[in-house]
Amino acid sequence: MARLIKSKLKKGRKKNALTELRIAYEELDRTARTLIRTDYLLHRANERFDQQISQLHALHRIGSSINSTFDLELILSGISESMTKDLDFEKSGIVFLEKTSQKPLQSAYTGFSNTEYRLFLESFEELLLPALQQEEVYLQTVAYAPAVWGRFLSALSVSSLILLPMRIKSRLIGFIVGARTHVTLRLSDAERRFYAMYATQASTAIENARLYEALGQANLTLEEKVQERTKNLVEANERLREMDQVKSNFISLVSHELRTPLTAIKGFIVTLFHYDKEIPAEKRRVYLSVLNEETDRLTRLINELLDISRIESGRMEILWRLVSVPEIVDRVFKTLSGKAHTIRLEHNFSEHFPSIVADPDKLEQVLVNLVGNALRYSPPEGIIRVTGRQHEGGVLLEVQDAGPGIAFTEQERIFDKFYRLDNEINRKNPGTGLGLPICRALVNLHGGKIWVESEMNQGCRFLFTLPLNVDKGNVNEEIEVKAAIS
Amino acid sequence: MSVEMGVGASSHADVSVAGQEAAEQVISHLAGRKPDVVLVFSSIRFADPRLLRAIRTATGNVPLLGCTDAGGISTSGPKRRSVTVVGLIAKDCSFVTALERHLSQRPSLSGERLADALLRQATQAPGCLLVFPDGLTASGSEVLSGIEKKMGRQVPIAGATAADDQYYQKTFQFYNDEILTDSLPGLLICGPVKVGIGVRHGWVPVGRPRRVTRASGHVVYQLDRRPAISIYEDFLGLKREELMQEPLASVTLTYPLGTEIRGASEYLLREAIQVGRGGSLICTGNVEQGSQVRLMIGGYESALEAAQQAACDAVEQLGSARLKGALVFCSVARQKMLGSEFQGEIDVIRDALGGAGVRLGGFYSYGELAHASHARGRMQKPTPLFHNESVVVVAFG
Repeated sequence: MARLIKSKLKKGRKKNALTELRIAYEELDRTARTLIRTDYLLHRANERFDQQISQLHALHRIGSSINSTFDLELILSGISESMTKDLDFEKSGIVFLEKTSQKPLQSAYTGFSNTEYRLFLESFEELLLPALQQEEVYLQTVAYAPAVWGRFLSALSVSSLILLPMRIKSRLIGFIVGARTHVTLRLSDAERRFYAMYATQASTAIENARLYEALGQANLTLEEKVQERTKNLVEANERLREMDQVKSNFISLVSHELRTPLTAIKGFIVTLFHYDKEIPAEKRRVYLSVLNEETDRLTRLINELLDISRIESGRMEILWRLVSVPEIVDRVFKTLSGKAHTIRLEHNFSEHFPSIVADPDKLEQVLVNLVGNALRYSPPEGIIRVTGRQHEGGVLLEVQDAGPGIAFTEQERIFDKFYRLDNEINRKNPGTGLGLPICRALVNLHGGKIWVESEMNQGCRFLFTLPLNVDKGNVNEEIEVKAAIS
Repeated sequence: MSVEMGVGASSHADVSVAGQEAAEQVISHLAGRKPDVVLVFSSIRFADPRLLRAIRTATGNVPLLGCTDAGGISTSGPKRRSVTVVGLIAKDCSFVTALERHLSQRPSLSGERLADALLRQATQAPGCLLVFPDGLTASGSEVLSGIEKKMGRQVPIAGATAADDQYYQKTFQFYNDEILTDSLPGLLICGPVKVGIGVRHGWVPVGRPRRVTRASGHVVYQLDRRPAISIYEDFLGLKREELMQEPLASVTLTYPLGTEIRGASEYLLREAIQVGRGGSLICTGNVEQGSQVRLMIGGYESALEAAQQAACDAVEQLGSARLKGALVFCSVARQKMLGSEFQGEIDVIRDALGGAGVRLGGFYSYGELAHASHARGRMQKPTPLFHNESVVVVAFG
């Protein structure tokens, strides 16, 4: 009996111990659950924290990359690359819209083939623009997309596509696209917020770049304007300086040219006045001859000045007449024969050389000037040849000498007013430098052109063209001109 | 000397440039020589034919195999969203490769076929098998059982299942010029190869054990006669709907189920990736009906200790052979658990293998394949197992 009681007591104690153990075991399990729950929550918090850090890191990276430049192209390609490298999108792009038309203007892309990207942009108005106006972060996946989007995504060979509109003060300036090839994306609220921040960061960088570019452009325009005005001022100043120089030269030249004959005239007149009776008749003739020449020189100078003044003020009148050029050349030769001495004067006109309508006095003046110059430069025994032939519906006249010639660099300058070649002959024979400019003006008034062809030590050929000017003459003369031409 | 190893990695935005950069680093490691076989592990961002074209342009058309990952591991450390290329040159040994498609149809048969195909090509005795099956479409346990059936238990097997940057949607496998899914590429190293394999996790059990009252293959229907999902509802305080809102693996990665293996130093971990009908748990490896499971929890220090131990186990098996490089297959769960400090684990492995000069290549996976490590670190009974939350170190001497 005692053994039975003992055994029962032992069993009871064992049962109690087992129950206690079981309770402790359950309590341990409950403690483990609490531990796991706490650990799980900590893990989740840690994960969110890590995710946020990595997102902030991505934002920081993209921020420092795109904010370090104002070059729009660099910013666009930087964003596109960051979408691939930092955010895992196999295909990405960024599109910048034209301000007024809201159509794609400039873009950069990574991962898309050219064909895919062209297809993507072609769907802008139909698919992309409406989507961009809907949400801050627009997501489409092949698994859940409506048919039209499904076809679009398949054509681009992607599983998911997100569109991130970029706005400045609610105006759509562009958008970012990111596509995953293999992954069906699902975005948490936190991820959506992140992508919206990412797009904002990109928008700001792009807007800054645009403002900088606009500012740069404005500065450039301003600078260009300042430079242009400065250049104009410098040029105007230069012109004024040149004009002043020309005026000074003119006054100096004219004073000199007037004073030289006047001094001679005055000298001879004083001599004649004081010593009239003592001077022998022969010497008196010489004096009077010098007085005559110097008076002619003064007259010529004044005429030339008057001519150039009339030409420049447009008051030079041309009296159109039917003229025979060979006759005028004969007259010129006759006038200048006194100065020719041993130099031969020849002319040669082609058969059927036509009469032309021109001002005979002006034409004579041109020829006197050219032949006169030729005489001045021709060596003794030299030949001065005047030739004429028909040329392109008009005539071409040429005065050729055997002088020292004119350097190529001087050939155009000799037609400038007051310009004179610096040579021994000119130093001995003072002149105004107005002869050739007057010739050019007179030829031009006739509708022709004058130029010189020369090589050093090979003589000169002054050539000038004259149109027939049939329409300038009166009716009767016109008939004569036609008759002459036929 | 059996195998020489070169490693390269890149995370360049352009797929082709990334492939070219990584491949050129490999060739540079190999002193300008082209490898005999190339392993490629990459983020799904790089699952693009241009990647393989760029790599093969640099390495030549030697056999290539690999898979997508959840982060690459290279000599310079771990790197997410990258491509890692490992080039191997055989010394007195040879490489053969094979591929099995449509893995999910009959995973075990695919394993058998792969082993057959590899053995048929082998001209030397098989030395070590590396496999990289799809991590989402088939049970790693079944694949291994098929391989073991043909290959036997004497050939060391290691590898890891493909991943997809933790999206748990679709993984890809690489084989020569092809990018495939639901496939099983394998590399058999034949000849007198010196290989050491270590596998550890460092997770510890919490709470009381639950009996697996109903299970079939890799699907656990009931624990203690309740829907299997209830273990997570109980422990995490979450409702079933909440657990189904996001990939289940994002929760079960941190708290896997563990079953005890007789003689093994650690529990065998199982990770549920999906909630099935009636609250069942679909795992990436098989769970035996009638066994007991525990909820497991990982810790920073125990995880690093385990990584160090795995490396030491691998080196120890090399004996007197000098370490030439190592492949590291690390569970993405460890990356997740260690958070921003996940680089530390690779540092620990590198230090245990010999320091800064050691060449490392590998990736973060959804499952690891290796023999179980036993209490003394030796593979006393070389049964290949499918692991979760583990780190596998394959050391080449």
